[in-house]
Amino acid sequence: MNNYSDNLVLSKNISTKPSIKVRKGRWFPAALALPPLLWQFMFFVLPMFFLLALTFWEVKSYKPVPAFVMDNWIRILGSSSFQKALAYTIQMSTLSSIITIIIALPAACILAFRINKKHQPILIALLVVPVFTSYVLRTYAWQVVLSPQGLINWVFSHLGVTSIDMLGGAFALQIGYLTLCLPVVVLILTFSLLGVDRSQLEAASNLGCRPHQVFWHVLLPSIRNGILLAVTTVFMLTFSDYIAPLLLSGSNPPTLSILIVDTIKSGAQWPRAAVIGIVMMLFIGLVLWLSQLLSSKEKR
Amino acid sequence: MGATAAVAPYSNFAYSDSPRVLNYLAWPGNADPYLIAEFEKAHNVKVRIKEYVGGDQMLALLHQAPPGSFDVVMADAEYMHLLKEADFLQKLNPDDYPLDDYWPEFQEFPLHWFDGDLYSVMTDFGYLGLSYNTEVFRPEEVESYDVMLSDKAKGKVGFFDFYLPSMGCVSLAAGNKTPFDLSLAEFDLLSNKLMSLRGQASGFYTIADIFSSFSNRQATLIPGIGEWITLGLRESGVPVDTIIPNEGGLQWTESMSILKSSPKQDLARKFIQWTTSPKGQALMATKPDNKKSIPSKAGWELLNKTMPDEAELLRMQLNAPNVIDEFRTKKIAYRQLPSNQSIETWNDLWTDFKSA
Repeated sequence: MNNYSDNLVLSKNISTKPSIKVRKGRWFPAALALPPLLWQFMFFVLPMFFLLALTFWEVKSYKPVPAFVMDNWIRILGSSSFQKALAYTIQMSTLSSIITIIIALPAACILAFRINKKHQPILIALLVVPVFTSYVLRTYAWQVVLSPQGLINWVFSHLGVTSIDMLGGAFALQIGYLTLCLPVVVLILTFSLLGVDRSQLEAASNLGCRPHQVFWHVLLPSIRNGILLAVTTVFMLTFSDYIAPLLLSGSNPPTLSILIVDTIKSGAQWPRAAVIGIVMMLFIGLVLWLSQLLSSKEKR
Repeated sequence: MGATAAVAPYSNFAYSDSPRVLNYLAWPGNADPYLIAEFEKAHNVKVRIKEYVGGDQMLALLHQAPPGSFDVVMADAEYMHLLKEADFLQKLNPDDYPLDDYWPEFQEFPLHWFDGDLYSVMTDFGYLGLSYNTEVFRPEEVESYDVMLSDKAKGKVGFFDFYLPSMGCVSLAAGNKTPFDLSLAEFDLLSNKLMSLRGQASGFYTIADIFSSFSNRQATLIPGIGEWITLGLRESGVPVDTIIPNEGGLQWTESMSILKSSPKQDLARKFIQWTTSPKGQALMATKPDNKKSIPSKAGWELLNKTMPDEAELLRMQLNAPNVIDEFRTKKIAYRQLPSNQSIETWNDLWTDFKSA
């Protein structure tokens, strides 16, 4: 009986203790999450609301003043310069996503499957290093390489080949975008590939699949989410990039980021620039949503 | 909070109300110790500069900063009437400044006087025409802006990404004698000429990129710039020169004014007096990063006496063909804001041109 009552007391104690633990458990993660949530609220959500409000303001004497007018939206959305810049930016970012994946995937496969595990961290570290160096500096370096009197044309001239204009257009822009995105995408894909169950690949091989069939039907579906993440990352980074269009393509033609700066330079038109900014955010949101949609379809 | 955020890009200048600090709003490089060290030492003050790039930014800064934030503003002549209309400028006493030392052409510079009153004093100027790579084009080939449409120039015409000088020169190329004072038909001529050049463009450059694109031959012709770019490049061994084509060129003019709201009117006046003195002018002309022409004849004389090589390089020799001769050819128009169309209309055309 005593034992029973002891057990009862114990069970009572037990029944209360977990509730304390649960409360503790609720409070602690919330406390941890609070600073980043506050940060995001202060420096993303609030500025976004302000940016949206700014799109309805007017500019008087080179100064944005609060108002509620639709003029900025009508002017920007109806402007052929904006429409062309939007189409060009989407085109360039999409092309960059494709090119980057095509170049990064083989490199990631080699890193994940062919390189000795001992050497993998070193090579991954080498990939990370450029991410921490100045992007502006790397882009300027490409000016030296691609210019009419640059490294490549110097080699061409010694081979008797006529020099080629590589700066000032889509080619140079794509080079700039690759400089920005390639290390990041190789890393994303490498980590995706490292997570692939190799026994599945071996099983497919053992069951008679040729290497290209293993690649298309087993490997690629296994890293589908990684590819989606990589594509989304490239699109987002390039869609808003200002450095490569400015330094490598000579704003020829302008992308949306260049158009934002042009709009501010001419008459301090911050509200119109805000309209372009909001449209860019909407597009990035759309791409993220599409990526999420494709990713969740795969899970089902 | 909204308004604060809106002006944030312009409000990071911590102006000082100390009587020992002169708050100066100017294009980059104008508080170079080369120019101001002697003034600072003589008056035991510090010149604190807020740099801007482009007249629109200068106007935005002045409109958004609290009154009294700046004591002196250096501005391009074409923005002077906007500064006057906004009531920013203090009327100046011409007797306070050595205008008699100036070349006669610049003693009463029209864009600085309003209703017979002086509001700004010219400090330096230069011409804008057609700059070219001398290894690609011979001088006789670039006597007309039409060279920009030649096969040799295809994909090699760079544009300074500032609508005013670039479109001004294209306006001259289109046959408009008064490049900024255009009727509707003349504006159409400008528009057509501009669009005809789109296929020739190599890019649209910031000042820094003009230097690099000329150096690496990405561009071999650039309208709307001048010796303020090509002189420095030539000294570095880049084969470039500037010509005022037969259709004409533009003159840019920088000048200094005292802000009406400045609590340091006396110090501001002394600073302008220093800059327009013969010594200040000679230093202004020979500033290492950006050499300019100066309006003070006394400054020329000092320059020829103390730095004859620089005087020759800057074509400011008194007894040889010089930059004043070019002004007297009547081929030079003042760079101004458009008079019959809005700034917005010109800006829109420039943006359309870039996107075409």
